[in-house]
Order: sequence, then C-alpha cells, then structure tokens
Amino acid sequence: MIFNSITFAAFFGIFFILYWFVAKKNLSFQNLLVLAGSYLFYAWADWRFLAFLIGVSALNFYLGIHIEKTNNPKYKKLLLYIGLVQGVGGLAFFKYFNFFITSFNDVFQSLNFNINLHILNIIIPLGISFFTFKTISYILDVDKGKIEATKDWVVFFNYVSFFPTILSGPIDSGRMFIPQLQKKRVFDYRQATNGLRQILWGLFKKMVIADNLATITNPIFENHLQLPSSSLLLGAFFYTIQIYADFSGYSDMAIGLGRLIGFNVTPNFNFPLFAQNIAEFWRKWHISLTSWLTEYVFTPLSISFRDLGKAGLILAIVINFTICGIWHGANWTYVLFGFLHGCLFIPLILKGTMNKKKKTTKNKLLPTFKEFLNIAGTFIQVMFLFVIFRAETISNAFHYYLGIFSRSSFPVTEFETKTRTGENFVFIILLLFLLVIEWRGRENQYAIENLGQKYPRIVRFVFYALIIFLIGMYAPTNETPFIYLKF
Amino acid sequence: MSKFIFTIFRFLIFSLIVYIPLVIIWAEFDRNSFIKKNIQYELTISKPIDSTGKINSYGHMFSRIKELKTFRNIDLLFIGASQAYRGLDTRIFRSAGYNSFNLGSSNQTPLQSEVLLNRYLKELNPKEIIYVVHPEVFSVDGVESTLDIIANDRIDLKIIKLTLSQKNLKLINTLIYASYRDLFNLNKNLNEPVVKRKDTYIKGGYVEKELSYYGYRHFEKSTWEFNRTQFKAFERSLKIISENNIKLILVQAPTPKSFYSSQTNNVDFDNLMKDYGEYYNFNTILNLDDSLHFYDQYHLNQLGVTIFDEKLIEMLD
Repeated sequence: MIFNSITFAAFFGIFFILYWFVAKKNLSFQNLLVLAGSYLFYAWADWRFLAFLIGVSALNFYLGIHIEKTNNPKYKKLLLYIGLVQGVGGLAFFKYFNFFITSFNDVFQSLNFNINLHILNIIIPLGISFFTFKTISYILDVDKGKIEATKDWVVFFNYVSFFPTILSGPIDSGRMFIPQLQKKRVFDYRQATNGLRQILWGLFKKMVIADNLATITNPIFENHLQLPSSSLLLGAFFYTIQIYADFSGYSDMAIGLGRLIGFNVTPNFNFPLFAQNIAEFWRKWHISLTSWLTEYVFTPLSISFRDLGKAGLILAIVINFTICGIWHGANWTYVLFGFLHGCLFIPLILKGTMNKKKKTTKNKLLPTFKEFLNIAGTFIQVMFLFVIFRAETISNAFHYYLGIFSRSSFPVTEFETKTRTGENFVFIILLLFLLVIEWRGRENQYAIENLGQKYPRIVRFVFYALIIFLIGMYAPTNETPFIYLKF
Repeated sequence: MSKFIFTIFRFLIFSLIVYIPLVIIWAEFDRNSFIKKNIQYELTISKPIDSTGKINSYGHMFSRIKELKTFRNIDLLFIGASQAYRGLDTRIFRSAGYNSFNLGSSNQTPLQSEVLLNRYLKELNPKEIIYVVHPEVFSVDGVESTLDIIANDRIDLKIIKLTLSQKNLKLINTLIYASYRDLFNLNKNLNEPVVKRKDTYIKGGYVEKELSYYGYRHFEKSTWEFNRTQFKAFERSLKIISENNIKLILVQAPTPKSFYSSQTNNVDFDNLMKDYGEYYNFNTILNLDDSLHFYDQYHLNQLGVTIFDEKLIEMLD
C-alpha cells in the first residue's frame, strides 16, 4: 500500500473520516486510531515484522522511563547501552550482516584464506533505518535530559510507527513530535488545505517526473558499457533529478498527510537542486537525516577531535558522511558515496566557509551569474556522485565514469533520437515546468505552497486541476515504488 | 470541517470539468503520438488517403465489430484471445459447412469475453461456442483487451463498470475520449485497412498472418499464477452461455513444445478447465512441429492453423 495507490487513497479516506468525525473529541481515541491505522498500514506492506516493530517500541518505551527514573549512573548507562545495542544491533543484523560476511570472505580470499562464512537468508524489516533512528534519538535525548520520557505507551508507539513517515521518513525527533501526540488535534482548515496542496505537488513530482525519468535512466544505467558519453551524461543528469523528485515527492506526501490529520512533520527538502555549495546542499537534502547525524554523530565527533583543529573537523565530517552513506544500505557504493561527499567539504573547511550561509536571490526571477555558476557547480558535483549511488557496484560506477570521459559523445543517443521524433520532447517540457515552479516557490516549504495566492481562487483551482491532468496523462499506469523504500 | 469538505467537493467537480475537455483536446490535438501518453486511441490516415483508419488495434477489432452486424444465427461462435482470431480460420470452417464468426480480440481475458457475450450473444445466436482458453489470460489484469474494446466498440454501462474496476489511468482517459467519439458518432465513416503490416482481415473475424516460422527460443521454467477475478468473470460468462442453452466447448490451442513444457502447472490448468465442461487441450492431442507450424510462442502459422482447425472440425463432426 504505497502512497500513490488507489488502495492507500481508500485507506486514508476511511481513516480521515473516522479520525475527524468519530475520534475528534477524545485525545486517547485519536491516538489509538492513529496507532491502529499505522499498524494496519505497516502490516499491509509486510505483516511479518509487525511484532518486531511492536517489540522495539515496547523495549524503548520502558528503557526511556527507567533511564529517566534511575539515579544510578551505572544503571542508567547500562539501560542506554541496551537501547543502543538493540538499535544499532538490529540494523547491523538485518541490513548489514550479509554485507559483513561477504566482505570478510572477500578480504580473506584476497589473502588466500578460504574461510567461506555462510550468509543468511535475511528479510529486512520495512522502514527499519527510519524507526531505529527515531528510537535511538529518543533514548539519547531522555538520557541527556533534553526530553521527558513519555509514560503513555500509545503516544510512544505512535511516535515510532506513525504511518505517514514509518517507511521512508522524514525522521521526526521525539522533542518535536511527541508533544504533538500529547495534545488533542483540532481540525484546521488552512493546515488541511496546505496538506492537500503538498500531497498534490508530491504526486506530480513522483508520478510525472520521477517515474518517467526512470524509464530513461534505468536502461542507461543497465547498458552503460555500450552507450556513448552523451547518453551517460544524460543518464547521470536525469537520475539526479529523478531521485530528487522521487524522494522529495514522497516526503511532500508524508508531510501533507500529517497535516491533514493535524501533525507538523519535520521538513525533509528545501530545494537542494538550487544549493550553491555542497554544505548548503546537505542542509537542504534529506534534512531530517542530516540533522540527526549532525546532532548525534558529527557534533560529538567534532567535540572529541577539537584539539586537532581543522584536521579534526575534516575527520569528523568525513566519518559523519561515511556513516550517512552506510545508512543507505549494505553496499560499498553507499560507503564510497558518503565518503566522497565528506571529502567535498574539505575545501569549504579549509576556507572556513562551511557554515557560511550563501545569500540567495530573493523574489528575483533569475539568479545572478555568480549564483548560477555556484548552483551549476554544486549540481555537477552531486550529479557525478549520484552515479555511485545508483550503480550496482563500485566497478560499474568506475566504468560509467570511464565511459563519460573516454568514449565519443558524437554517436546519436537513443534519447536524442526519440527527442527528435518527439517522444521525449514532452518530458523535457515537464522537467522545465518542474524546475520553473520549484525556482519560483523556493522561499516556501514546498514549491506551490503560496503559488497564485494573490490571484482569485478560480485561478488556483485551474492550476491544481492542470496538475491533476498532467498526472492523469503522464503518470505510469502501474504502481511504482519509491526509491527510498528500499532503505 | 464542513467548509473543507465543501471546498474539496467543489474542487473535484471543477477538476472533472477541466479534466474531461482537456483529455479530448489532447487526443484531438495530437492524434498519433507521444503527447497523449495515457490515451490509447489512435487514428491515422490510411491508404487510400481519403479514408481514415483505426490503427491501435492489432487484431482488426474495429473491422470485426463492424462486420458482426451482418452475421445472425450462426453455427459456431469463437471467443478468446489472439489464439482464437489467429487460430480459427472461418474459411476452413465454412468449407466444412459451418457458418461461423470469430469474436476473438487481442489478449482477450474472461473479463472482456463477458462484456462481448453480454453484447452480442443474442444477436449472433450461435448453436455452439468454441471458447479458446489459455492459462495466460487467466493470469493477467486484462487492461490491453479492455483498451481494444473501448477504442473499437461502443461504450455502454458494462464497459464503463469494467474500466472503473480495472483502476487504470490509460483506460479511464481512453474511455473519456472514446465516449466523446461515440456520443457524437465520429467513427461512423472510419474504415480499417484490410491489410495491416503482415495481417490480412478475413470475412468472419479471422486474421491471417503472412506465412513465417518460429525460431527456437529457450524458456525458463515458470508457473502460471492465476487471477481470481478472471475466474469469476469466466464463471459468469459460462452462466450466460448456459442460460441461453448454447453448447460450449473449451479449447486450448497448441503452442510450441518448448514454451508449453516450460510451464509447470499445465496439468492443474487442464483439471480446472475440465471441471467447467467439455475441454480439449490440443497441445496433447496434436503433435505439431515447433519450427514448422508456429510463427511465435503463442500462435500457429497458416500451416498449423489448417491442421488445428481440421482436427477440431473432425471432433465437432
């Protein structure tokens, strides 16, 4: 039951009616309904790990209460470690166990030792990377006294399994989300219509842009050994926009769904394609993950390494981004992706401009030439690194790069041929539509949040109806999963 | 909340008012290419240049439906997917004394067979029905065939209901455009060319493919996974047939051995079909040559069609 499916629309429609018409007067009833909805949603996706999700929630709920209650520092530490071991251990087992085993085997084989450790047939629980980060941040925050441990199990279980965000985030912090669960939600017209608009824009990005770009990028990445340089460049360019449209589209839908039922979910994207350097890109891309890593990995590391000066900062950032890469999955491509992103920060650290916020052109139709160069430069860096992210193996990524730089770009690519005959022309128009609307709406939480607000309602209605038409005309006719569901 | 619901309701009505004309304009504006990605209703100028032809149906469905009106009280009615209209040659049956009509269509699944039987069974009034069954049509969603019917036949409540139940954007858009053309009778002067690519339409609904041969292909072992919706529609079709007191024969047309033997649950399918009535699996009755009697993994070439049809006639006699 993915967001862009009829089944989910039916599920949410029923949920919405029950939530606002039956449960509206009672906080406990509202929370119980959200929990039931979340477990139904999760079980629909994969029922096999529902018990695991409940178990993880129960363990961390009690750990939180006891960490707060105890005055014995040793016992407190023990409880904290139990929570961390469960969280990190769960991730290590489900997501990385086979990766470690195969990597060990490879290392020993290269040293002429054949240890041949066996891999296990493990199924990864859906959303584990997301809900684990929530539980870890919760017990760390309780331990540090940044948040009070909740005594209401329904509130905590809801925080872990909130259905709009459980499968692919955003990763809400307990500090931000738990208080919302402790207060009765009252229907707010503006918040609800805002949510609907955001869902609509998310659907457009996912179903029209990302899914259509996938039909171009998939064959390019699968056949990169045979394709000319121009095709490979196009593949990398389109994949960067595809993954942005796919993941930010998902996040928009998750946030919009939250708004419809009275929650403010953490923003996850802030127009990263217009970032002017790599640090700004990461402040705008997958914000909830980077904020999490900044708070719980980068900040403690940079404090530990502070005696090393800039070298310490570089070390902290490279480790931080390598972990960010590993978080995405058990593949060396993700490790390298994260590591290289960390390395891209080095010039900024050396120049002392890492935390310097770039001034952006506000309310201007076009960027200045310098801004344009910065945006293009950042986009190119990100685009090249997304090749590693998309490639199956590091060797594939290497051959992809080799293809870009060593092969001729003159042979006419399949994309170019189709464009000439008109087949891809429409995608280019749609892509331009996306970029123009995103650029115009870059000061908002999402691109169409305030678009046309100064015009009569009928004008906005025409615009929204046009987006619905574009979805109806250009969306794929089968349900296509979101890229980040696999993480 | 009431304001929100009222706004949503108003917006949905408004969207519908915008959406429907836009689909029609889009389809009319660009009749033959990429802009209308989710409308499958193609019109093109055919040769001779003075007639407009429909090209989106691979199986001459437009011609078949147009010709159907001239057939009444036939001996045999053939229904099923392409194995029906490419495998049961009405000329061979006519020469054996059977007046027949072939109502097969591209990838026709039981969902569409049900619609077609509801529409045309009484008009055609056949003495006997040969229903060509294949495991694959019981395993798919049937979108392709619904598109074929929407684009080439009239629109009625049953096809609207079927379209909505299949929840497919392309089906809905095509239905909107087809309804518009149907409503204003815009297809009345259309003609479909008798010869399209390598296909020739034969009177009575058969489509003859230019003679070609099957090149060997290896198939990995696989299992048909059946769709319950298709079986329910199949049962409803059989009920319509039995209520009209028409004799029914279920037939599985032959396919190349390399393909047939790659499926692991052929016997299960045979047993299922036997439960529904008189059933013949010609994969086990005829011993055809893969490279001589087929042109692809599903279809007999004209040499194979002749052998298959003659054997079927022998069994009917």
